[in-house]
This record gives sequence, structure tokens and C-alpha cells, in this order.
Amino acid sequence: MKISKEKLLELFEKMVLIRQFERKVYEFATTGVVRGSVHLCIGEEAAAAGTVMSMGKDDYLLPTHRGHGQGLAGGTESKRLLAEIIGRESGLCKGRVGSMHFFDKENNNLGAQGILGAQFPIALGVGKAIRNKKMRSCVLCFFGDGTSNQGTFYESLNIAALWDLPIFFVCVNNLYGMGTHYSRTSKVNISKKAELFGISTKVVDGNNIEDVYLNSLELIDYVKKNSKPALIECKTYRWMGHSAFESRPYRTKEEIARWKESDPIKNFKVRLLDNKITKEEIEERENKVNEIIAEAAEFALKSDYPEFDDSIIQ
Amino acid sequence: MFEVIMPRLGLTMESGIIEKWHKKEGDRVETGDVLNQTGK
Repeated sequence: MKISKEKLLELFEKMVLIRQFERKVYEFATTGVVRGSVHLCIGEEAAAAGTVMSMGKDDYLLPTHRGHGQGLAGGTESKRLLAEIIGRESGLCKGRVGSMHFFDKENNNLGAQGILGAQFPIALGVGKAIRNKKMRSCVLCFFGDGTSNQGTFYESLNIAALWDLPIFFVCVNNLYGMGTHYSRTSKVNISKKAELFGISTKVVDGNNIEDVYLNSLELIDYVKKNSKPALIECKTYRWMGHSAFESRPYRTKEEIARWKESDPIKNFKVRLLDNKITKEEIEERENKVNEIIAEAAEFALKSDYPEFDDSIIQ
Repeated sequence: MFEVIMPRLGLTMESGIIEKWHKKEGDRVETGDVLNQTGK
């Protein structure tokens, strides 16, 4: 299957939006505008945009704690998510939940998870509801390489396969669970763990958006047609620390530099130019994103903090 | 004059010491440029 020119530009724009959004969050975090911790997905934009943008409008999304990109790819408005992250009343959830627990009903986003592994049993419930209601939908359940060692992962794979639930497990394998390399946590590849339960899997280059997008389309179609779970493992890399405040002492500078060579955005830009898309068309999208982010920052900073009514707390 | 806020390098950091400047007053800077080196 060939991706249309318009779709290619849409995928590009979304990846740029995610990166610029995360850069703004980083700026806000390091200048004290964000209170508490945030987890950024710079470097992992293709894994977020390529999978989520292959969703149908009746499909559901369960993002991770590193979920801003997944939410944005699902159609969540930048300004409302940014306002949420900095705790303002105009935020997506009225500034009550922040970065790690945002949800967006309008875009079928059922809520990001702060507890790693909590999304698996939730996905089972969503999958069961889809089956009971005889809907032709699926749920995208995101998780990282580290979380694939949680007990809930195996228990949920078992039930998802046993009950033929329409769950699309999306593993964003960025190699590190906080500061620990995957090879120090498991001898088994993530896709193999799902295959044990008879679940169809694909392993893709998570920094190549065409690869992620086309394989996701195929797997989502399979999940919905057959009402069976499937899993995609996107191999990628986290450029930033586990959280915004971390100096990444567990990785060498050489390793980070090597992965930055496979920058999902920079390399996609080269392929776009090869695909007869002009430099001007690319710049137009980049400028559009810059405007969106500048407006979002202004909107969020100007918004008021929520006023808490003591009677609700008591 | 543009005001630059010293970035927090940890959740509990309240102050930092600028050990070295990479830019001089009046230099042109772009987003993402290294301005200085900060220690605790």
C-alpha cells in the first residue's frame, strides 16, 4: 500500500507537533512552570503518531505515563493539554490531573496511566465492553519495554487471547525502563512474550513512520475483523531522561549520538523530499506547528489556576 | 533585555552556580543553544 502525499504530510506535521510540544513542556518544567514530574517522548514521535493515526474514529486509546504524544496524535488539542500539564482551569481535565492522568472523551482517549502496567487490565475491560456491545472497534493499549515485565502484562495477554478481545497492544520499546537497559531485565523479546499466548505480533523500526503506520493499519484491521488481540513492538529510543529532571548517567554520549542519527523526523524529511514533496510544503507545516505551540503556550500561561471549593474536599 | 531563567536541574533544586559562560552579552542566540554551564 502506498501512503498518499496528503497523509505523508499529515504524519510529518504530527511528529513535528509532538516534538515542539514536548520541547515547550521541557522549557516549562525547567523554569518552574510545571509543578512535579513530566515524562517526555522526544525521539519517539514516529511510534506515537504512526500507531495512533492508524486508529479508526470508533477506536479507543489508553496512553502511558509518557503519553503527551499519544494523546496529541489522537487529536487532543495542544493548548488544552498544555494548560492541563501546568494545572490550569482551561486544561483538558480542568487542571486537576496534569501530565500523567489526562483523558479526552471527545477523542476516545480513556486516560493516561501513572501506574505502569495498570493499563492492561483496563484494556481487558474495554475489550470486553466492545465485544458485549458488538461494536466494530478496538482499543490501543500502550506500554513500554520495562512494563512488559509486570505480572499484569502476562495475565492480560492470557485473558485477551482466551476471550478473543479486540486489543491492539502497542509496545514503545525505548530500550530503558527508567535507567535500566532491557537486556538487564529479561532474556525474552517482548513480541515473543505475546506469541506464547498465540497472539499475532510484528516488530517494526519505531523510528520509521511509514513502517509503523502501514503495519499498524494492517494489525488494527486484523484485530477488528477477527476480534482477536495483536501486538506491535516499535523499536525506538528516548532522547531525554526518564523524567525531565534527570542527567541520564546510565547511557554513554556515543549511544545517544548514534540513536540521534536515526531521528524519526529528520530522516522522514529526507524521504519526503525524495517523494516529490517540496521544501516549501515541509516548511509550511513546520511554521504552522510553531504557531500552534506559541499560541498554546500563551493560552496556557494566561489561564487561571482552578479554585478549589473546600466543601468538595470534605 | 530578554530575561533568561536558570533551568532547574532537579525537582528540589533552588539555586545553582554558573561555572562557565558560552555566550557573551550581545551575542545572537537561538533556541537550544548552550548559554552556560551550571553546577550545584
